[in-house]
Amino acid sequence: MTAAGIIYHPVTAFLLCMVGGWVLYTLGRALAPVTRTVGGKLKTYACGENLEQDSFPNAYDLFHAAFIFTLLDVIALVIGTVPATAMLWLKAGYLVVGLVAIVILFKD
Amino acid sequence: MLDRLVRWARGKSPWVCHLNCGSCNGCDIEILAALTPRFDLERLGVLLEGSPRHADVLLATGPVTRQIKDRVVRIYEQMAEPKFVVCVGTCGVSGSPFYPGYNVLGGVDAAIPVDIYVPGCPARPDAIAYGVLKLLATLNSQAQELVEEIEATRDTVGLIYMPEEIEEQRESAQTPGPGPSEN
Ligand code: SF4
Repeated sequence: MTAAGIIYHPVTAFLLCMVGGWVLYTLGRALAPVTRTVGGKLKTYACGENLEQDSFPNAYDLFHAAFIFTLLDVIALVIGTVPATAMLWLKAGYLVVGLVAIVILFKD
Repeated sequence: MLDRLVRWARGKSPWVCHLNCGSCNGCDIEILAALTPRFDLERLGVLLEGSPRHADVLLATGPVTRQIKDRVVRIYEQMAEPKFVVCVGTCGVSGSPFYPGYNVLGGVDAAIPVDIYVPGCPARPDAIAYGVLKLLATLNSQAQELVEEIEATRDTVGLIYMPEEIEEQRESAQTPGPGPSEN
């Protein structure tokens, strides 16, 4: 594999992104003032109200359908924009992983 | 070096969150006037933000009532550090004209610490802009220059008050007068 091939390899790009993210996060952490976790600091923001629970049942009737179509849209977008030279099994693998994720999410 | 970078970044993009503690809406309208193109605080990077979680400056209007006090404190606690509070309007400064109503605790500083007081009923948008600028001047040289220019060309006495000045005024208001003459 050539040097350019190694640099542009998805695994290298992924690792570089991870390192970049880690540097940004560490820098932000070092620069940020010390957080004071007093009172309602860690509570869910609810316009000043004191929420006792942290989660609420959602009541959107078509939420599941909308979420499935969102996932399908993302899968279609990713597969549609994969370069033509990419290996077929990569695209097929992504599709299978996406579909398995949908099944796991909505198996109940 | 890093400190200068942080100060520069903070001074260039102060996000403000508006909180109505119990105002009549007069001062709220003036805050909008200060942000929109005529006075245009946004040209200094000031951005009106919906959530205090993302805000650096809390623009608080109105007196603090018994009902809102805990909520004001909670919202202040939920802001990111470092945080500043600008109280806008005479209600926010002292609770007047509603103080000492049975349900009014006083100005915004009855609940949380305040950095700049902008009096007026309602507060003038140029005074609000000046108050925010004065706050920014501690972080940003462009705002510092603007403040100096404003102070050189206009009479800014009484437009805003710093916490020490408010303290002095309160103390002098409590000082008894000379009293009746003995003769
Ligand atoms: S200071 Fe005047 S205009 Fe502002 S909220 Fe109070 S009563 Fe309304």
